[in-house]
Amino acid sequence: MNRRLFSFWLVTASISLVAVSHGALADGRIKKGNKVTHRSRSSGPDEKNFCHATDPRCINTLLRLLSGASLPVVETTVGYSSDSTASDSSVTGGVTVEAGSIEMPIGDASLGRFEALFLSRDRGVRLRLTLGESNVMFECKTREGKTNIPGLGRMNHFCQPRRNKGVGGKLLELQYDPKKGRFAGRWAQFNAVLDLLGSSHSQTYLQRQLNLSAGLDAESIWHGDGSDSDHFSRLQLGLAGLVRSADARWEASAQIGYRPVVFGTLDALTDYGLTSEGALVYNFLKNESAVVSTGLQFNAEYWSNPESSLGVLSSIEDRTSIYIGAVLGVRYEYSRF
Amino acid sequence: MCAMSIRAFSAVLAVLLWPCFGFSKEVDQFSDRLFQLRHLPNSSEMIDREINRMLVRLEHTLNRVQPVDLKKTRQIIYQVFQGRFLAELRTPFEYWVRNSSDITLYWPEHRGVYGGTVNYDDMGLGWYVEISPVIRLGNFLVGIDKLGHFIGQGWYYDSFYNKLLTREPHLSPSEMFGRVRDYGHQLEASYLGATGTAVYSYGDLAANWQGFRFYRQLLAGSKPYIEFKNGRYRLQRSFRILDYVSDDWDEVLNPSRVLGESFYRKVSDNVRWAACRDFRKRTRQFLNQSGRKLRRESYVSSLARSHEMRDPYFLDVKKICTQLEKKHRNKSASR
Repeated sequence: MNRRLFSFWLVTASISLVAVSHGALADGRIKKGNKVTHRSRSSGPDEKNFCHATDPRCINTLLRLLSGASLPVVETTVGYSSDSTASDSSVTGGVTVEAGSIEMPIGDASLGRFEALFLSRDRGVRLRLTLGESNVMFECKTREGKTNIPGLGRMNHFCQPRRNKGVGGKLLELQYDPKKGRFAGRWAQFNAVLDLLGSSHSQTYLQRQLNLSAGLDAESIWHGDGSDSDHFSRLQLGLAGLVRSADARWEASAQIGYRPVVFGTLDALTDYGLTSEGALVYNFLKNESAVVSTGLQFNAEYWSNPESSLGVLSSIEDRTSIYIGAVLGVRYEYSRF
Repeated sequence: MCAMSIRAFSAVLAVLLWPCFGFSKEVDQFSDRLFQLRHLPNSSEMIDREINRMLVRLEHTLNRVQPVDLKKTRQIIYQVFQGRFLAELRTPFEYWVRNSSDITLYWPEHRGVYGGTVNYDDMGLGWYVEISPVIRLGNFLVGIDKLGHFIGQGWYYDSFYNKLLTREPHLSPSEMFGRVRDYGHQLEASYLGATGTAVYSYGDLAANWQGFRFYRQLLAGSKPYIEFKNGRYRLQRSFRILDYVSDDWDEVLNPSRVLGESFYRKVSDNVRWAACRDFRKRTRQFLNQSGRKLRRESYVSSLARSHEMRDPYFLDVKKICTQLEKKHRNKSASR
């Protein structure tokens, strides 16, 4: 099974890389439809070697591609996961496809994320679907001190980089474990966010960000073993950060969270989850409209009642679960608005 | 059912991507200008053909529906020229020009003069939007965004004008046109220009104004395109884009104003690198002036002046390249 999983990962990764290497370099030329009829002299050498480590154009291109609208984002992971008793240690891997996403200095949003993961021989496959998600959309404060609505405010106003407050949330996150017959859903989540570094609404946000968030969600779990379902609400307290090197090639991100149940059919406060995850990736421009990122991912979680857990790699049998693995992702820029 | 789901999906997609929709794209007319003049063929016939096709469709639809009032008539015009799908966000005609296999366009390299060190701090959300390609119409070089402005914003000018006619009929024609220019200024000073991309384009305003003229001539005026006679709508004349294009649409000849000194410095550096050698060597050919120009006051609002005082950073190729020349001269003199 592990060999099969590895082959699957290898094939997905290769397809992503081949697809990306055929992306268009549609610049500095005259085109009739899709056919290039003439190239300008200046586009020659740049085309072959358009990205140098110290070239601001490439750093900016890389940052723009990493943060702008992407349609789609494809990510494949493979790694090693282990639980608290180490009884179910296994190679874990999967594929994530996101229909579209933005990660701009005004905030981020993603739409239509589908994840398929192989967890272990015992736990089987996990399927996840998230309709929409935004970690944060920052308010827009003008120089005159007027506050405009998050996100949309930037269209008509110059928003000041400062410790902006923001809002975030999730809509319809569904998770299904076929082997256990367990179905979990986070119907909606609402977060209030504070930009601790004051980098939002500026280019700096693409290099450094640290956001504190607090929110509430509504969840349901059908345990799948004939027992009752649970319906409850969790508090979400979290801290998420990202830092990129000066040339934007290296990127480290991490987040931690505390998620106690606050009301519902489960015990309030005694039923909680502690989550942490991190990644260290290397980004490289494949062409002018695609970025390939590869690196290491880490995830560690503790759930006081694992049966009520909800998360990509959360165990539903053991309190503690740890995952470490490799990630390979591709983002395609969409800028034809 | 399927159409419904496509619509629902489009709506969700629009919500996700709203920060970038509805922006005016910027155009780089400085880079490779002589190259464009040498190799870009005239595409005005293709543009004329497409707009004439729309006019025929409009004539047929009007005859089929026989609208009873102005509101219904305008709805039909809107559907023909703006489309039904997210028209406020993207002008379908510009999209057609961009993707047509018959039209030849120039695409700048690496975002052209808006590339290099230019970043989010300079351009805001416009940094994420592609640079508009350039098309040749007759002897004019223009960004295809101008065609979007002509068909799209021209319509909104006309709608605003029609609202004025009913709400404030006491205004004189010149006052009304003044109000329309102010409306255009407000659009250009907000998400369609200054706050969207940090560029205030006078070329956009000129194209908007000519689009306004086109819509006013559509069913009315001394020489309407479509006339209503004996209960039938009849197409009277064909459209020619060259009746509307002028030097004012060309951002080299009608320089845009960028917001902020830092942004100006970065773009000026790019212009020097991309255009000054060609400009100095073949100034006349580079400028490519036809001499056909609108009176600036006819399409630029007086409100624009206060903004010009605040940000006097015009992307004027003559000024930028002359400064460079002076710099070179001073350098060699000091040696």
